[in-house]
Amino acid sequence: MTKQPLLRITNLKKHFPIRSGVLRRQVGAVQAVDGLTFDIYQGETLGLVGESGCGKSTTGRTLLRLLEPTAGSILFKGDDLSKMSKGGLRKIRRDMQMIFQDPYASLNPRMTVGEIVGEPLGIHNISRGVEREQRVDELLNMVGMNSYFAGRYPHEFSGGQRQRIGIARALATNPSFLVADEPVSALDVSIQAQVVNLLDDLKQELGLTYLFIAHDLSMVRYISDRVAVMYLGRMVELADRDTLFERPLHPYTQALLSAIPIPDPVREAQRQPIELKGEPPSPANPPSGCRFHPRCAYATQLCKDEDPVWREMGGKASASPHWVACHHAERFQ
Amino acid sequence: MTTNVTYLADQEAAERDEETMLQLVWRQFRKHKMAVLGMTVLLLLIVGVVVGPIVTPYDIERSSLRERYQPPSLVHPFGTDDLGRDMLTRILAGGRISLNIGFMSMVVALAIGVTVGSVAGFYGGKVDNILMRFTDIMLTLPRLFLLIIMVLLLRGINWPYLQESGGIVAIILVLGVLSWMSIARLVRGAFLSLRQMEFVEAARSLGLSNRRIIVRHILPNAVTPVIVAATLGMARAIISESGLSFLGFGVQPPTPTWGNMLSNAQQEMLRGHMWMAIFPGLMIFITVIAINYIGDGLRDALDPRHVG
Repeated sequence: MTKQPLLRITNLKKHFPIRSGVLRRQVGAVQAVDGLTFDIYQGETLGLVGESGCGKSTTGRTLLRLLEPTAGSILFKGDDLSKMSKGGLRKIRRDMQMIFQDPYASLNPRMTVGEIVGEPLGIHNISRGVEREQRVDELLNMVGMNSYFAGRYPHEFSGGQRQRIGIARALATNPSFLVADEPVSALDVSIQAQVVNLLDDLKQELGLTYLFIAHDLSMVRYISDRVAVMYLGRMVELADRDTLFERPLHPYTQALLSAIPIPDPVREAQRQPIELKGEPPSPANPPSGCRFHPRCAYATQLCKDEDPVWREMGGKASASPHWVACHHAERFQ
Repeated sequence: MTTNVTYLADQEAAERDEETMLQLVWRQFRKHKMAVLGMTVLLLLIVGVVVGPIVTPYDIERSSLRERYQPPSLVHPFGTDDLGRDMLTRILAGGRISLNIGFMSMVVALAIGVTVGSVAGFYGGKVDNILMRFTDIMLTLPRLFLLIIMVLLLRGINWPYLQESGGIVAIILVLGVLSWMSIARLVRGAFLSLRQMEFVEAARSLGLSNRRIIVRHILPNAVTPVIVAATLGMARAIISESGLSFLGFGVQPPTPTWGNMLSNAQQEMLRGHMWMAIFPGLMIFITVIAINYIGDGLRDALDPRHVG
């Protein structure tokens, strides 16, 4: 299988202006996403991990142009989303959808489940009347819900059920690309697995492509084909799931991975997590050079002075490219 | 995959009686005794003012010098006025107009307030700034002064519809145009918090137009405080109309309203014809208090802390 990029993101930036004073003059910018370059292949699940505030969700929203990118291009099936007009964008929205984090906030409390799931069908003139009702039933069944519930309101459901409704809504227009923004982190642990498996099943069945944003590393390892790690608005590493988890090249990735508990008491007792110094710096005032250098155990003067290039490191011939942004990546190979 | 499992919890939910939002609100509303009383009184009033003038044997406008200043009796339960017209008939007919003015001016205020508030709250930024500063200016201008000026201005316009029946339409417009501000602020506030919700973002990612997002997704969730404000605003409009009429700037005689009947009774009170002032005053009092209690009851019933 040759991998076709479904999305090709080049130098994507999203800065939020900081204004102050009476005149609301811009005094700075929060560099939430600062220069991402990566591809998302057709049919893969790309996991996106990083600590809170590193720009994961902003990335997902900017990809769908729910936020206007500050710079960069997003090629989706050959069209540049970042330059697309409002009208063109509305049309292409049926092909890319989002699953939200909070199942309590993401469903309109004044609409019935049937209306929520059926609305995109009407907007995009896909089906009407009885046909639409049938499609809604089909969608609800697809996510493991009884179609009997179409007439009910969201508040009558549990978190897991609501998340299923949100998934059904996202699937209504038959999209090919889905951004799942921490789709399970608001759910009970016992429900998380159900929903993640549902997403995985749907992917197989419908040939979907996911950008799966999460901070739960074991969840990401379970569902992803490839994994990208973000730190302070930048991508620091991107590789095959197994490569990334077994031979991480970036010190930040290594630190993250060392924090995963091992479900084996003997080995867990010997686990030595790499402790990072200090707090993550503010994205409004990022450190010079490599953004990770103040907290990195291997940092040198070079790291302080120069921004590391986002480069491809040769992996095994069969594996997909291993991307990393570290001056000293060779040391860890 | 596509498991068609019916979970136990689902079944239980299915067996529970379906309860719509409306039923839920009604159940809460019923707990508020005074609100239910207010609702009953208002409904009776509405039936009275609709049916009354049709049923009554007396004419609203035809005067009878022989029957002037008759105190309440079995023939004229509320007495007669200075022109010998039956007070009860006029009060019912006037109630029609007073309630109409209260309701319609609220509709006008809602239309303006909801539009201004939605647009300001949804788009934010400059639009919000301009619209809200305008709202602030409207709020700082002295209300009574503006009311009188606008009534006089509208009287100058030679458009028959405005002047019909003593200028009811003009009064409705003036009251509506001067009482939308608090609604605009309420709606804007609700929009500001609602537009951040994920379901609005979801609507946007589904490719919905701004208009549809405002009308279908945000407004229904902002409606609760608006209903309450509108109800209370209706009571205020009725009082304002009385005040205007009392000063002679309201609906012009012979079209009766509670306000101009009160105004008419000014000198009569001193001459001992108390009933001419008491009955219209009592009607205003009862109506306003009934509406206010309904507003209170609605506020409690629609409070999201009770619902759900």
